[in-house]
Amino acid sequence: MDAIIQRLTPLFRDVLNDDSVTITPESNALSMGPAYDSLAHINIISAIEQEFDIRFEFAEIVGLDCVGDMIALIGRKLAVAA
Amino acid sequence: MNSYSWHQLHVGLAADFDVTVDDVMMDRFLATTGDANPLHLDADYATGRGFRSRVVYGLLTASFYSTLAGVHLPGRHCLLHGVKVDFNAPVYVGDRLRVRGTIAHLSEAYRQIELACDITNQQAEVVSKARLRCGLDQQ
Repeated sequence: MDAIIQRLTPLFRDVLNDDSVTITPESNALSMGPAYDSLAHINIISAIEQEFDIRFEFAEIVGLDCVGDMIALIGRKLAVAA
Repeated sequence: MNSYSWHQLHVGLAADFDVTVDDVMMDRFLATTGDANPLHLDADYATGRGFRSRVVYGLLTASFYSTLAGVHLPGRHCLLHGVKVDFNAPVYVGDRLRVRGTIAHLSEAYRQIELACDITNQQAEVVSKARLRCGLDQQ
């Protein structure tokens, strides 16, 4: 989980244009503040796909409540690809 | 105008067009934005700073990325989400520019595409590079 968070952190910092952003498994759209708007969410999804060379479907995304859920989903996709 | 639907798009799909920057464009950009920096208006001032002549506004050059996305790729159904742009070399009035973009990524979940773009001049020198993110109407 830590390895994925380390790769996710610069993606969030870039999309949110804030080098002080830190993320944890409990982080969610609310805790990340107003900068995490709908466009930021779309951009994060695209950035994660490119960083991990995976693809998401809309149905997979809508059920995510926090970064921990996203990490679990990334882990599952990476395991399938391995 | 092109009118690509989501299912017609794929990584590697490309588009380009040519455009020549002229004085009218510069005058209209000045009138629209109020950017009266002498680098763009005064040839003597520009040459004094080491340029060949007055320099075309970087964002005038970058405005052709809007044309690329909104008219050529993906065209009619585009909604521009964002642009990251670099200005790698000066552009001068009269330069013939080639604006090019290639789809680098398709994000199915929210139907967003990323275009890797550049603009070259008549000497094939890269004057700008950009990354465009575009949404596409659901269809």
